[in-house]
Amino acid sequence: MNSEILFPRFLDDSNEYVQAERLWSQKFEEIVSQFGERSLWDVPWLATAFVDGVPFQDGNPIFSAICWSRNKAIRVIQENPAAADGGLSVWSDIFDADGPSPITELVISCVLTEDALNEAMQKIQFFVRPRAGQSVPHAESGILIPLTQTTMGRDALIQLFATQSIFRRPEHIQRFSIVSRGLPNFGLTEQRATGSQIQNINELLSPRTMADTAEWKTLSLIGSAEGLS
Amino acid sequence: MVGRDESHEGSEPLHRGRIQAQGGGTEVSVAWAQPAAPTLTEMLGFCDTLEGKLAPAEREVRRSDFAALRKFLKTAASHGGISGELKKSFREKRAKSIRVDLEVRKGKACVSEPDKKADEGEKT
Repeated sequence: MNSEILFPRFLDDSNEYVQAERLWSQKFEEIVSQFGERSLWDVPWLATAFVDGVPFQDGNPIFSAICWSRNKAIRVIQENPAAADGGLSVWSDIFDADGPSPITELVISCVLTEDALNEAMQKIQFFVRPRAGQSVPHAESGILIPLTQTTMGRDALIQLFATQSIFRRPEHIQRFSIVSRGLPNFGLTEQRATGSQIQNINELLSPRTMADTAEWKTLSLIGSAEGLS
Repeated sequence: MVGRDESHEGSEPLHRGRIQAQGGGTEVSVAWAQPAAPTLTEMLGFCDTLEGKLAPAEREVRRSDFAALRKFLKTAASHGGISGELKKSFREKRAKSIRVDLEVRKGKACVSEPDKKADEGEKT
């Protein structure tokens, strides 16, 4: 247990405020970097200054981040230690609920202590972790399918990928790549095929192109816009 | 980085947002979507409208939240306003998730009257 308040004068001392902001950002970056997804998140997301440039400097929020491709965001409010009860509050919300792309928000509000920081990061880690089979729009008109299980056999992969709509239109897949790790002497490697080589999912994931024991990190599919949904 | 696609938003109002009372089973909001940024007077009016839509008990439990929101809006007006994307939760009593949220989705809010006239002038 470590309930000592970190940066207790952050609302009055701009140096402490900057240090607190950096701490939240640094911890968040450690989490998303674990998943190899730092580039998917915009940090900060929300404005923290008035139009004339004067910062709010009120801890509300002290940190924010958004993943546009998954419509998910995080907002952290660091409370005034003098006025708060010390507990950590967590709730979910929707930003722009009536707009074209509502954003699911995880909101955390707390006084900053080592314990609160650790608890907050556990909540954030659970919220941001990529779900197996969750596809991510890719800048090159494709999708990425991150895998949370780092070791998956061919059968498990076939089951997972069969849930992806792109496999219903394999003729639109222009090329695919599977990034794997754990292969001796290669580190990260890629296997590729072109659309003409891909007849169906079994061909795509045939033993010729995959080894059962490899640790697959990401499957990326680059297809025409028509074939993606 | 994949950002929000705003290419389809050309015909949408330039200034959008809402104030919402949330938590404890309450979800009531007042939204704006208009060509000119709302002034401080308009924003305070939205607060009044939202308070008026709440039941007495819902309003009472958020009395200090509304006070903090109004204070923030007045401060914002003295600094040229606020701009999106912005979201703040006013939760003065820290009672579960009972709160009032301010959300600026697009454009500005809390501008002064002269700023609003200039804003409207630019569009004519």
